[in-house]
Amino acid sequence: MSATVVINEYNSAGETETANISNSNMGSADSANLDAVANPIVPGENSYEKWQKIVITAMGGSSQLDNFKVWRTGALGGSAVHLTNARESAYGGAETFATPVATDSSIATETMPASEPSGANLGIGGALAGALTGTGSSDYLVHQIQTDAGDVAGSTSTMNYQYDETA
Amino acid sequence: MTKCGPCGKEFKTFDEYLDHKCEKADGYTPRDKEYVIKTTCPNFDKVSQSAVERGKVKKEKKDKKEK
Repeated sequence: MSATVVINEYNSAGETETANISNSNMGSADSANLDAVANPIVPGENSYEKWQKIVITAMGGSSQLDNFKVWRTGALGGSAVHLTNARESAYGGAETFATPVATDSSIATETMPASEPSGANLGIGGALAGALTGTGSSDYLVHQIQTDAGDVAGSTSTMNYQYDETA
Repeated sequence: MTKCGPCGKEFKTFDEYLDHKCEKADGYTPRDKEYVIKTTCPNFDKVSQSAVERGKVKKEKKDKKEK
């Protein structure tokens, strides 16, 4: 047996929670599982922030989950940047939900790693060294793509969410 | 309000979501790993095994250090 883990996303002023999302498409709409073709980011503009959590819905006999890491693989188009609140040092603690914005995020300010970080970069209970010994979740992962006017739409990359599990 | 991504049903509380039998997951609930396997992550068993292996290695290192 092992823990059951899903990724949940939170949208709109009402913090609507969509559980077990199937993708993390970034676009010009504040919605989970969005259609990126129908909601493209206009070159020079930003995606809406994504507010997501790694959520444990059952421990499945395991005693602890920790060491949460997130990163992106695959190149962004042009000079676009992918920014996040996740970071291995100077972690800002657990964020309080705010309505996702498409203006420059004041929370997602660190470049999203393009390979697996060496240590945790997403906290639990506000700390990177945090751990879950029962059902619960990570802190909010906030991320946003910011593009340049010369960028071309249509890049595809993969978000990676990783955790360690102690039986 | 919590919405189940796969079936779209909405629940007033997270616990209600956890207890529902998702029609898109052949009746499994969000507490079951089959819910994830049948909806969003077909290779969840492999993901899970890797997580347990990392945890095992880390625990062994910790235990060794404490001795």
